Amino acid sequence: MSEDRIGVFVCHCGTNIAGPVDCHKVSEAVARTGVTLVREHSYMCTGGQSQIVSDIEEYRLDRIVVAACSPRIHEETFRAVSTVAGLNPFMMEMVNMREQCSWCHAHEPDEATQKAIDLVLMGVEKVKLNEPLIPLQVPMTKKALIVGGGISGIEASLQLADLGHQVILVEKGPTIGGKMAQLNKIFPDQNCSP
Amino acid sequence: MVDVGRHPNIELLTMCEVVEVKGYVGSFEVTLRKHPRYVTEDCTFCGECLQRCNVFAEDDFNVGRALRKAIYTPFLQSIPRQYVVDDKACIHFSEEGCEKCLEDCKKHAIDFSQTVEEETLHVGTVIAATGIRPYNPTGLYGYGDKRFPDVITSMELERMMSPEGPTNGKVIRPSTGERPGNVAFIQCAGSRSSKEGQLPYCSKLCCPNTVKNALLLKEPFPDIDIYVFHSGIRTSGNRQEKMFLEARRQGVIFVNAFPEVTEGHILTFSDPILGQDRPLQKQFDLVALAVGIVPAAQEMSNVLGVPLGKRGFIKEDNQLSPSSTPTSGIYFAGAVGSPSDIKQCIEQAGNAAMEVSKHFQKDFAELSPIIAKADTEKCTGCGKCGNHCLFGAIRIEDKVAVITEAMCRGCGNCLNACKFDAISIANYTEQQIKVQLIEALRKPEDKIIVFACHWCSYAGADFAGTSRLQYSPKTRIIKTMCSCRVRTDLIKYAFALGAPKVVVSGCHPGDCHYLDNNMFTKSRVTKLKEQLSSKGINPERLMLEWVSASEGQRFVETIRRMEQLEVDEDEIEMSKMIFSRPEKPKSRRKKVRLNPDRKST
Repeated sequence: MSEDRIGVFVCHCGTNIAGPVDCHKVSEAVARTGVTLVREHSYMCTGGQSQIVSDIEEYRLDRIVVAACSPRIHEETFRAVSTVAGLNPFMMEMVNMREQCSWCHAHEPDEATQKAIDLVLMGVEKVKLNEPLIPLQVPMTKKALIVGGGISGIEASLQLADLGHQVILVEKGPTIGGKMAQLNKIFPDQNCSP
Repeated sequence: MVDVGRHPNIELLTMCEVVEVKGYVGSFEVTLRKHPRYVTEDCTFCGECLQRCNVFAEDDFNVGRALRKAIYTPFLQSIPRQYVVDDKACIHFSEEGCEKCLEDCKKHAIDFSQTVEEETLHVGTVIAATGIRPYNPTGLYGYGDKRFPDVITSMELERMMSPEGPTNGKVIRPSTGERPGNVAFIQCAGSRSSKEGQLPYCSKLCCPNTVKNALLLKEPFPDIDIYVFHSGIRTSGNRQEKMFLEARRQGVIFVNAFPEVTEGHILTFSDPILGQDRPLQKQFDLVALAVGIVPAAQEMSNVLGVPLGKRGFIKEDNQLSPSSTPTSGIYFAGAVGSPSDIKQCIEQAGNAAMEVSKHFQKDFAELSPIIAKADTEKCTGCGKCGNHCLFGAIRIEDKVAVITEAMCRGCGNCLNACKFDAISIANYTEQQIKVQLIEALRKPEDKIIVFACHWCSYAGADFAGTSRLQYSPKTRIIKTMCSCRVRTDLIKYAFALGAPKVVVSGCHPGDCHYLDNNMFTKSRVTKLKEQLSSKGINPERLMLEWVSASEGQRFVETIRRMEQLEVDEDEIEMSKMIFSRPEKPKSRRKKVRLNPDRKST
């Protein structure tokens, strides 16, 4: 088999996933592909987190697949879990077994299970080719440029300046004030304008 | 305003234009063009110079309704507290010559030797707040025509009503100088119209502004007759509506029709409520056109490289980030982004300031590493990728594509444009999508492959699940950052593996999270569909559908429609055979690589 040490974590999400999808079947099917570890848990996002951390360490996993809910819900969670275990967060791939499988094929358990198996295998194949990535870090010049000295520019400048930040306010004309300064009174309370 | 002038953390630079912005979040290099003011910071605002100056010019602060001196201050409370010389009007710059103001300035604050200068700044973030200008209604309702001197704009009325204005706050008929006995307001002058040169949108603030002015006119002279011609008064918000009701209570007449202005300021109109067959006619002393607002965004858009929407306002990155442009570190606030009243401008300024402040909490800006990478071995420097990058992140240096990592958003449009497989997107490589297709199509039979973009369509599919909408379990969804990442080669590959049906799905036109990249998707998919037809394959087997994050139902309907399409085995075999053949251009590729100059742009 490949040299990769892949761990697959199959979440039941209570009965949200494990209701329609036969998670044991999914695990068995994935295990047959020769991955290093397949682990099931009723709630991977809560109790399962520490399990993932200890499994990564114990089995020296170098990439993992978390088959659970949508990455839009918990991708950041499991990336953080990977980081805790010393694994690059981009070596974690999520498989969407809930929003895009169990919930929308609730009355077709066999088909849903087959789809779940396919989705996990797709995730496993993808993660094999994942590369560890590091977010780009660029130094921050803590100075803000604000272009336009009307009410919006004035207000943004004051807000930032009051927070202690350095602001450069650039105005094309000879004065700030913008269109608001030209108004006589402003609605709805007929306050004076400038 | 005064606070800005004296805040120790604010450096105020007036008479300055931003002419160039380079770089990326955390490190923008900004070039300013400083125009001469001819008055230095030693000015004490004493006014001696003003007394001496004899040259007059049109006062643009008062919308040309008054004159001012050639050395002037736009208005009394101007910040900074320094006069300014209008070098277009001042005769010092003519053959005549004049230095009267200079002679009288005890502080020696006048300096005619100043010239245009350029300066470079280094900043971490930018907020564009260039605002608006009022719409110019010349030609509408007789405005600008000598026969109709008493037709003015809402801004002109505003200046007239100001105690500091050209009439010291008295509202008069420009033709006679007398107080008008009746006033007509015409709403939507040049707005909410599809006519050439007019504004198709509602500027939102003209209705409450007119109601405000009607009330202010009624205050000293309750007997003044006021008519407001409109096509639906829009005074949303609790206090604005109260103002409207108060105006009605005070006898302001709102007519749901637009009049025609004829000789003698006679307005002809049909009142839809009274429903006469014969139009009414009424002579008015003063006619105020409530004009909309035009964004002053074009220059900013060019300089900052941020996109404008169809109507010329700066376009928000997505509706949940109302101050963000697609470029990290560049924000906008106020009416340059959408018609906004003063209160909304202040709210948006706060929001933009918060976004900037979040950046300043850290010493570094962190950017997603899911970005494009160019293989210098394979790259020929043809420049196609650069032409397809709407973010300006790719340039050609020494005949090789160089990607500015901080500017790359990882959409993948460049990869699609590259004929030499020289570009990859981190963790969304061609191979990674292919292996997913292989797994998804182990038993291709009746499978539906769905390519869904990260931002909208994938979220739309999620929403279908969250709403427990049921659809075919034959679907296999593959996520990409943008639909433009889906190369036609990938679709062909899916067909070669025996896929009966393929759906490509992205954000709706205008909603794409990578500017207008989904339009590239559209043209590619349309082209491929034509290709399918020409090869005798039913083009319906490939579908392009826009699904937003909130359109779970639409996603399900798309799948259902695809499910109903019948594809027989022969058809699948045919497409499998056609697309399994090795691609022709392989041999051509080498030729081009041997002669890269031919393709350079």
